[in-house]
Amino acid sequence: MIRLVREPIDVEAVRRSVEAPGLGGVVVFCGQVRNETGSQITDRLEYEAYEEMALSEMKRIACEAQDRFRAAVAMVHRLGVLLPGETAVVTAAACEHRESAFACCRFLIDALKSDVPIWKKEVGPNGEEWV
Amino acid sequence: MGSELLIRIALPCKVKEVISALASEGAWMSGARLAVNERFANENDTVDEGDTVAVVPPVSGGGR
Repeated sequence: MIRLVREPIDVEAVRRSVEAPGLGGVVVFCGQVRNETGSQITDRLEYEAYEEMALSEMKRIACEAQDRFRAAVAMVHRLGVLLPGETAVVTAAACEHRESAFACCRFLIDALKSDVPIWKKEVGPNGEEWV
Repeated sequence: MGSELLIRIALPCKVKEVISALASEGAWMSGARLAVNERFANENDTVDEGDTVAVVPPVSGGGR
C-alpha cells in the first residue's frame, strides 16, 4: 500500500496490508502532528506534495526496502490541513523476525523524510512558515 | 510560489547547466535538488526536449 491521502489515515488498514503468514514481526511507525516546535505553538500544519514524483519516490523506496530487508512494506502520507494530534504519515514493515522489521520501518520513514517531495507549512499565533 | 521565470537554454544540456542558469537568475536555493521526469537527477545527467524538469526545494524532513 503506497498512497497519498486527504482523509484521516486508517492505521489498522495499513498494518493489515503488510501481514503475511511467513512474516512474524510487524512494525508500524506513525508520525503525529506536534502542538509545538521548540517554543513555537502550532495551530495546524498544511502539507503539500509534488504528487506524481512523491508517489514514484515512495514506490522506489518501497522496492529498495523489500529487496534489502526481505519485507512487505506500506507507506501512506496525508496531505492538506492537519491539526495537532492527527497522524500525518504511517510506514509499516513486516519481516520474518522483529530485528529486520524495526530496521526496515526506520529505513522507510527516514528515506521518506529525506527524499519524498512533501512540504509542510506550520501555522501558529505568530504567523506561518514553510519548514 | 506564485512567481514565474522563463529561462532559455540549448538542448540537450546537463542538469548542472540548468542549475547554473537558475542560479544566475537568483532562482536556486541551497538544499534544492533538480528532478527530471519525476526522478532526482545527478548534475551530469542530460536534459532533452520533452523532459519535465522540476526544482525540488528541501523536503519537510523535520526532527529525528
